[in-house]
Amino acid sequence: MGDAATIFLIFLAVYFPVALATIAAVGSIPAVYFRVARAYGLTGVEGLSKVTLPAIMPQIITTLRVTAGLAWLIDVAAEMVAGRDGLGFAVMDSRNGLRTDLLIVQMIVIGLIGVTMDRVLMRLTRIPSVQWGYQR
Amino acid sequence: MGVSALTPALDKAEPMSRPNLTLTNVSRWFGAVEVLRDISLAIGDGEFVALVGPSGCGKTTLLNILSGDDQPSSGSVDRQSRMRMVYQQDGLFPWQTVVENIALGLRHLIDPAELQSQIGQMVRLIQLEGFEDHYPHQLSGGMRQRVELARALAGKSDILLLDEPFSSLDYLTRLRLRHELARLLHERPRTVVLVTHDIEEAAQLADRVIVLTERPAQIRRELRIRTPRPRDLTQPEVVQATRVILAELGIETEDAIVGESQ
Repeated sequence: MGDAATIFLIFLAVYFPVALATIAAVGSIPAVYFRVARAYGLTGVEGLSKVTLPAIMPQIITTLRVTAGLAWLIDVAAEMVAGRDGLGFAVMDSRNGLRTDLLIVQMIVIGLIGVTMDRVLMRLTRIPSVQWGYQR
Repeated sequence: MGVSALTPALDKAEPMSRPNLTLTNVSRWFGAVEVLRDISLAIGDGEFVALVGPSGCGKTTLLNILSGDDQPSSGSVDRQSRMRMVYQQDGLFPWQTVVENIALGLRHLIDPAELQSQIGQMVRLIQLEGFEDHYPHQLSGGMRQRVELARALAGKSDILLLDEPFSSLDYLTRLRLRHELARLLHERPRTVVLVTHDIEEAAQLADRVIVLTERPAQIRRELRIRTPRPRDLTQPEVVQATRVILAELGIETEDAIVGESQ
């Protein structure tokens, strides 16, 4: 049950920020792009994949970076409270066993995993077709 | 001043070849605001028409009606052919390279070899060899507008609508791009409607300049300019047309058009 509850909690925490950010991003696409799309026959699925999606990509990547960090924090916290395994559980276990040495290592590992996830997502910002979103 | 000797060229409209784009008694209201009043306009095949008027007079609304992005509240629009629009700025897709943006204008081509050769031609035409794989944000404003022109001129459109295409550029670049546009149109003739607040630009580029009134916009004056294109900014008829337009817009005094028959 522990995993399902954790996953649900992460879903709750992450779904709304991602959904709202996506809605806001689509809403702020300049109307010119849609007019150009129509003029050049990009409609329907093609319009979505070749105009709407690339137009919001930079903001989506930023949102993913923020929410991935959030998801990771919630995951660890949920394991602390209700887990039977995982890093969060191990932290509590070390605390209860007064193993400060293990505790410190575990904290460092938690931090490193968080940083690594962010670094991986940050690589997405180097894709040439999203560069425009970060340089204006 | 010898001004009167030039005036016969600046007279009323005369019939052109088969009209490509016709507006009949077009009016447009936004709520209680009347923006366009009873505008009738026939644009001939291959003609270059410039629309000038005070800012906020409804030039862009008129262009949107011509392009079909907006509908008139009353009156009718008759469009014979396919049209492409060039915007003030940022009409290029920033997530696509120069080549990908130009390829948008060539989507009807199925054969990849043909597509490549057409793209190559357009890139050469706008003299951006070496920038094929650059993204718009890596180009200067002038280069971006050249790519926009290339995208609009690639493929088989007949009418080119230009919405203040050079207004975001510095003066020298603007002058350069006017020549560029004249050259591109020489290579790939199109019917052109240019909306601009740049009076010189209108006088230098257009066969016919339509001066609009303050809102609600009506046609105040039509000038025909006969000196063959491309023209220089300092050619007498261009200078004279600029004067007349300035006077029509109430910017220069009547003295400037002494000898002008009304």
